[in-house]
Amino acid sequence: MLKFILRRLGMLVVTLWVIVTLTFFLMHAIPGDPFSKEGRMPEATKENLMKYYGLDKSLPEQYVSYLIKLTKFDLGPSYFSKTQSVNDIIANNFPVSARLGIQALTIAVMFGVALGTVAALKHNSALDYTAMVIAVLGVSVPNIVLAPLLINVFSVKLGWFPIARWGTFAHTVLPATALGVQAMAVIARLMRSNMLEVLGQDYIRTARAKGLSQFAVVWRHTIRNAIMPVITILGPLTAALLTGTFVVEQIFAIPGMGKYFVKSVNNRDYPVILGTTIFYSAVLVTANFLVDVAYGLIDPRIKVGVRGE
Amino acid sequence: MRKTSKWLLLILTIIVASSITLVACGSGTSEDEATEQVLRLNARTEPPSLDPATASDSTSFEILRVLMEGLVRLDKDGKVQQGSGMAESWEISDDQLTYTFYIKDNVFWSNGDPVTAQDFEYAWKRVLNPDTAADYAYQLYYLKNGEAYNNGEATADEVGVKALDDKTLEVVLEAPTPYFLQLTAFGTLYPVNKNVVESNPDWAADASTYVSNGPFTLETWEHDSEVIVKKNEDYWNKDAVKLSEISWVMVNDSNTAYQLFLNNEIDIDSAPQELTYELIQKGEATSTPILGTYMYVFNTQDEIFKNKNIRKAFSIAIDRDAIVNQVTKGGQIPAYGFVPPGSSPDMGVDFREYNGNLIPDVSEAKKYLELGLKELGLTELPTVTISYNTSEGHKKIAEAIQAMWKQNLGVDVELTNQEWKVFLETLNSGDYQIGRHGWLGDYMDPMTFLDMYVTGGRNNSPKYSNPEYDALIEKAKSTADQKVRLEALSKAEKILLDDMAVAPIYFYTRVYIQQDYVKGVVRHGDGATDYTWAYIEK
Repeated sequence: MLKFILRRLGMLVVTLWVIVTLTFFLMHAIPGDPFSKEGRMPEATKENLMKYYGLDKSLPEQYVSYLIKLTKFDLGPSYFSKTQSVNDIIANNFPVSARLGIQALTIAVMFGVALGTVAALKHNSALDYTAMVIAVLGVSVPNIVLAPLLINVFSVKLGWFPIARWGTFAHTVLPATALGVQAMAVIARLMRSNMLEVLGQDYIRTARAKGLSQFAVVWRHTIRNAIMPVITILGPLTAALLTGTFVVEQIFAIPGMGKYFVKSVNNRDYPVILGTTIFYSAVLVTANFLVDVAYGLIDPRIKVGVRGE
Repeated sequence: MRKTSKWLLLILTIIVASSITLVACGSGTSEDEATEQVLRLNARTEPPSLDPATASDSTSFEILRVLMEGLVRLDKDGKVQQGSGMAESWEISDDQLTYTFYIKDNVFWSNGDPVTAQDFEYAWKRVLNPDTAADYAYQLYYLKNGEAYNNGEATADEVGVKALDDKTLEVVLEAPTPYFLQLTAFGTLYPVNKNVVESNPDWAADASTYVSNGPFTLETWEHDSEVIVKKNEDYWNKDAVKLSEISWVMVNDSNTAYQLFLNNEIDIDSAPQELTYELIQKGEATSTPILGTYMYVFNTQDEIFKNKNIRKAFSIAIDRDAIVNQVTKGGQIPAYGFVPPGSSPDMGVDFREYNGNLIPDVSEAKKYLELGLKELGLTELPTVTISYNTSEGHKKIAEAIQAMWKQNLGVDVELTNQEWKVFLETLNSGDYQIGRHGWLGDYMDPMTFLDMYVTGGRNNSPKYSNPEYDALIEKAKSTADQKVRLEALSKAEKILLDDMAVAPIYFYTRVYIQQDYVKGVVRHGDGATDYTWAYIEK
């Protein structure tokens, strides 16, 4: 197991290096200058800024100095925010996004698995159709529509939740819902189709024939087998939800990280583009690693860390 | 099968129970307490910097305006008054180049230090210091050797600002600048506490280390969430300040912000774009002019638009009233001149009124077109292209103008849009025919618009060049005599619009919504808002 973890750690470093390198050269290849505005600044001022941020050096030099700083976990300054470094931005905003993400993920997994399971067990019944209509709606209604709708109904009309902003648990309910619904729908559909497949297997019939209770059949034999694909998509899903999403954060005015993924590109704020990309990649790789470990726990046939032929 | 239903029941119970818990946790919005002197604003985004030296955007300056105070604070009418800021009085030399400011005795920083002339000298040199890399360094190029120091061609000691003693500041300018006093009220020229900045370069990054000299002090700065300032009890003019607190939330989505406004959680905001027209009609939003011009610039190096008469034809063929009344619908003013109204508080007359309407009637468009075609040796115009940065608003205007040019000139027009930063590069490199541009004045004087188009000017994107124009701008820059300046600038604008390197379209307005109980907010003509004297009256 230790060997496995070390190997994965090594892979993480290599993956991140590739991502940093690609992102670094790609972002410098996009036209546009971090300091351009509608009113141009004098050449001298621009040169001062370029010098201040080390942009006057050649690209390979900048690349090397970035890598050196990266090994010390220093992600550099933000060109746009004069008061926050990239490390500050991540330290301030990631916890917010992560909390929201975890809540959204909880909603998505809980309701998604429940809906999918019920739908499969009551295959072709009214319950099944209702669950699937909810799922299809969840997949097809984008956040940008759902979020204002939630605000309008639950905050403006009913007054149950604050309209927007961040602070108490009440503030998190609507954004977490808006964020979780789509994932929930995906999980529900995946769960349902897998459940149906597993329920048709011979070993389920054997289990029933043995006289196992319905609960035991469903819990021990069906869900456990059907949930594997859901676990697989949880990796990227977790990474995406934890690091924040632009639309939901924008609509609910949440001080999360999502906007930096978008704003940094618009502003050509190179260190922020790199920092957020690296951070997202690291979260993604870690989440995928955890998924691999989870495989082993759920399905004893999969031996994590053993190179099987 | 009975077991199934039991199991099912469990799941359903969980679902129902959790939704009830979620619902129960919702809290009502707190009711406003009676006439608490708290003003709640929306900054929309995180202020990039609250350090006067590195701030260069309207959000930061809006907050800085109540935290800091320069030598002058513009009064409620936007005018310069002796004793309105840190300076008690001043003297100006006969050649209009040397200003001596006498700083008040009773002015203090929020940490108790007195505000001194050294603080100003230090602050201004800090802005110009190449190592500070301040975006807005050019706001201090008026100082003698200011530009040279910023370029690295002069030393700090050669810059024309010097503390003669603790309370006397001598400022030497490069050239007579009649609007210099007005500039001392601007954010980049605010002082900073020399001792604080020297001992902690990151002083402005956190509320706990922030030291200010204005009517308010920085209480909380939660990044991407909220800025709160509290009344400064040590401010020299604290009796004029009625608010005890101002908060800025950062809600960027205009619909969410509008809902917060309707729910009485925000007191002032800009009107949401889609509702602007409706709200103005209903009297719920107010539109006031600000110092800015929306325009199309013609690339004077282009094969077609190098011709003055063609440019004139295109400019004249824009129905500016229709754009304002049917497209933008935000109370904008159709632009029949280049410099917006309200630009000349120090000139005795309004520059726009003085220079009048400089765009001929639409009916003359065809005449100029034919003249231009003859000069170019063409029989008809090829397809021309309008470039603009991607935005719904710019697109609507471009489409309207496309139709007008088709109708009035019979020209086929293509539209291309680019992402903002790419578009800026396109404009600067001259790789366009007709480009969208907007300009907001840096200070209240026609010069901030007209000196853009001198030959080689850094914002001269049409690459316009006319020696006569250059000479007039030079003349206006060499004197403080407002009569001479008015004449020169007025002639210059006429030349600019006779050459029609730019086609002004409309003058900007700001449209805001404000709760009825908010009084005393001062909105300056350049778009700046000062909340120093605001109060709540319920």
